[in-house]
Amino acid sequence: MARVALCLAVTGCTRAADAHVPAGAVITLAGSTSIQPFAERWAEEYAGGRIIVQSGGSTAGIKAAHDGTADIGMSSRALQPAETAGLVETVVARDGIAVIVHASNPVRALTYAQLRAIYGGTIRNWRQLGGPDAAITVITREDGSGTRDAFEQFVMGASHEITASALVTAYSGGLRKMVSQDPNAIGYVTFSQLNPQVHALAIDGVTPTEPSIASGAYRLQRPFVFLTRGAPQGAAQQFIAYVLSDAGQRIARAEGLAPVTIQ
Amino acid sequence: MMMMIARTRTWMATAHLSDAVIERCLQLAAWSAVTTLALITLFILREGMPVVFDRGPMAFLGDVRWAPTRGHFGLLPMIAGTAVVTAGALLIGLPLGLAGAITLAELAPMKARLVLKPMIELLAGIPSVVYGFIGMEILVPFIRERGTLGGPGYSALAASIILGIMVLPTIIGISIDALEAVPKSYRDGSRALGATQWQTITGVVLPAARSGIVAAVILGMGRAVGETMAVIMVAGNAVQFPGSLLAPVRTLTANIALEMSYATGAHARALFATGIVLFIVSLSLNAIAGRVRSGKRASFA
Amino acid sequence: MTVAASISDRVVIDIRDVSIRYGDMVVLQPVTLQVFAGTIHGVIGPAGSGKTSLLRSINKLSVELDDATVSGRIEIDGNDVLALRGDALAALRRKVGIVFATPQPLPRTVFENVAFAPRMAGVRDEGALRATVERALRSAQLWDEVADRLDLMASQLSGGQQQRLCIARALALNPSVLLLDEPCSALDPITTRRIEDTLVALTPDVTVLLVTNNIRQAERIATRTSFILMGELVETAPTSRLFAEPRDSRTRDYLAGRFG
Repeated sequence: MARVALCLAVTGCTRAADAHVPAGAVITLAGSTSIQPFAERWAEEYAGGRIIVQSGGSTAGIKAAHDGTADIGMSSRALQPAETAGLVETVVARDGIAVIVHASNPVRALTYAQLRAIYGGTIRNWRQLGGPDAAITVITREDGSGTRDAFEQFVMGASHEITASALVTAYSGGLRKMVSQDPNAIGYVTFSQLNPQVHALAIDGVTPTEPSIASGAYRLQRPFVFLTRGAPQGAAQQFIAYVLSDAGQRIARAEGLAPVTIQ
Repeated sequence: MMMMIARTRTWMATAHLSDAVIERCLQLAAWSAVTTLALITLFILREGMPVVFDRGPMAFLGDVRWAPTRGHFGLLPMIAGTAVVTAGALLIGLPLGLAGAITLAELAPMKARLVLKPMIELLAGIPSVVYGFIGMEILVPFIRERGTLGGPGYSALAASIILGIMVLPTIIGISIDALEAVPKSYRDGSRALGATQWQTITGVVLPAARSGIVAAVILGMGRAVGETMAVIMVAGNAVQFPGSLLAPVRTLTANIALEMSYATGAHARALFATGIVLFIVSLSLNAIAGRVRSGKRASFA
Repeated sequence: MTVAASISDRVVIDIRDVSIRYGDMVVLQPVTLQVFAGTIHGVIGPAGSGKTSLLRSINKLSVELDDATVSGRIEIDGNDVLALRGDALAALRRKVGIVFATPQPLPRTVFENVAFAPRMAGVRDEGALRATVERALRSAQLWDEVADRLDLMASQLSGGQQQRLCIARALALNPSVLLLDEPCSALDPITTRRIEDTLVALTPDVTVLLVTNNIRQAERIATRTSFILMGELVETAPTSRLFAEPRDSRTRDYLAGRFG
């Protein structure tokens, strides 16, 4: 019990909302740091009530949905079999994970095999990829991040691990910053975080764009999932309906996500 | 006559009563501090010890792999990381700190001292995240771009430099106290015998202040070991043994901070076990510092 | 015990129009005073008169350690003391020993206390140091008591022994001048007598300036004596004449014990 209390203190205290409250009430979302800015954006535009968005990571979000400490849990990674019990998953958008390098890096495309070798530590120099003679600075997110989880799942696979000498960011926004400062760096961020100082690589010939993510051609992507205990009801259900509506999905697109319900 | 005695007795009893109340309150306050410490200790032990017993301490101290989701709990890389970064911080902080303390306590004119001492104490008030930010924005690119140094910039060196600056106020402050506690008669006698100011400082004052300075260093070490935020932002956090000063490292504190919010089950307990290690290190350092200071006080008599 | 009957003509310490202040507070108005070679010059007066400040100014300690402002001219063997600093000042201090009122040995052994000044002056040879320490301790009449315990911590000696140790360490470099500030104020009469014997034995090789609260001590061993009262030098004269026929009424009153 003490540990739960500690986690609650870390993620912020919440009030568990009753499933039957009328529209106009307060609902809480908690979970993935990747989804958080989008959830806040939806919350801004949503007129049907007050939304509180907390972070804490995908794992914490799954747990919060499970325990009822949040109305909606946000996860940016697939749930493990043990975690799905009692939860209903609703995919509200698709998020591409772009592999980025410094804008000055001449390397523009890689294969999944090369990417795996880089992150596995077997390819260590840009020279081996047609770039300048410089050691590759490999940067990854911290263990437990949903983004890292998706990356490991698609790129590394079950049998390979990210090398222990990879730099680990201190916080989620840090990876893009680190790559934009180091000409020899490589990292991965959510598609919506791209900016002119970094360049997204084409993987296996496919560049991450909204259409390529929506169509599935760019494989390195993950669903943004809203989790509820049981089928969504009441205020939570109304919010999810909004997110899946035309208006909500257009906002998603504007922010850099690939929508799921519109073309 | 009897009235007077009775009245005096009542007055004394009342005085005793409010004395006793105050005493009780103070005792309560003191005990609450001790109790809090005890509760924290018990909590950490309760959370962390089971996994230590389960897998044995060698799983933590003998393994070089830290991959808790896959069952590897080797803390050695992080212990090495903490050790390297702390040693580096002291290598930077000790000479600078001692020089600063000597300057302020012995050499600087009073006016300079009045300005410099508060400024150094201000250093201690800067939040660690600000230090980390400055480290990220300025120090890390600087290290990376010095061609001969190489490396990604995020490194043990960056962490050592930032930590060295962060422990300066501790080392300087306590060292100044130690230097000022040296009796004036020692300086008098030494100068009167024809020793120059520098000879007096190195030959008489510093040796007399030695235990206080050692205590300052140990407390600075404690601060460096426990620092989390600034280190996370500049050290790179790679889970590997620091092969050189320019390689990224992860300290024990960073390990806990990076993973605690996601950790569940054995992973979380392993982090608590890390906490136990840190706790022991911190307590020991503080105890040693205390011993060193009081030991010398006894021989001063 | 005989006081030096003839007074040499050579001036060793020449104090001319020296005044001392701490910040705005003047503790000594202009004083002019000569101390002749090989004599013991006593300085008497009630507490707070500025005697200690004057003494500590002679080797510039007051300026360096007490933040005093000293104006005027102080010459020792012709060297302008107030103009010296750094290494030159340190060199001067090796020729001018000083003993303070309360024994203040350094936190070291007996041997190391006496050897301190020679070491600071650069003497490395252990044999030479041992010889120096023995000579100084003998001059201070302390050798017999500590010869077999030279590595005892100085703090473990008795008060009287510590004061003699301080005299010994001041003598270690064979100074030509010895300044003493009420050296016997904390000591019993027997030890006081021994120290007075020591001082007399040092003359005529060493010139001694002795500040004392004890009028009789000056009478016993000083060749010439000055009387300083509340920051003002009242009069200076050969000791016997000062005590027999003081010229100033204030001196007369002080010597008669009407105040002090």
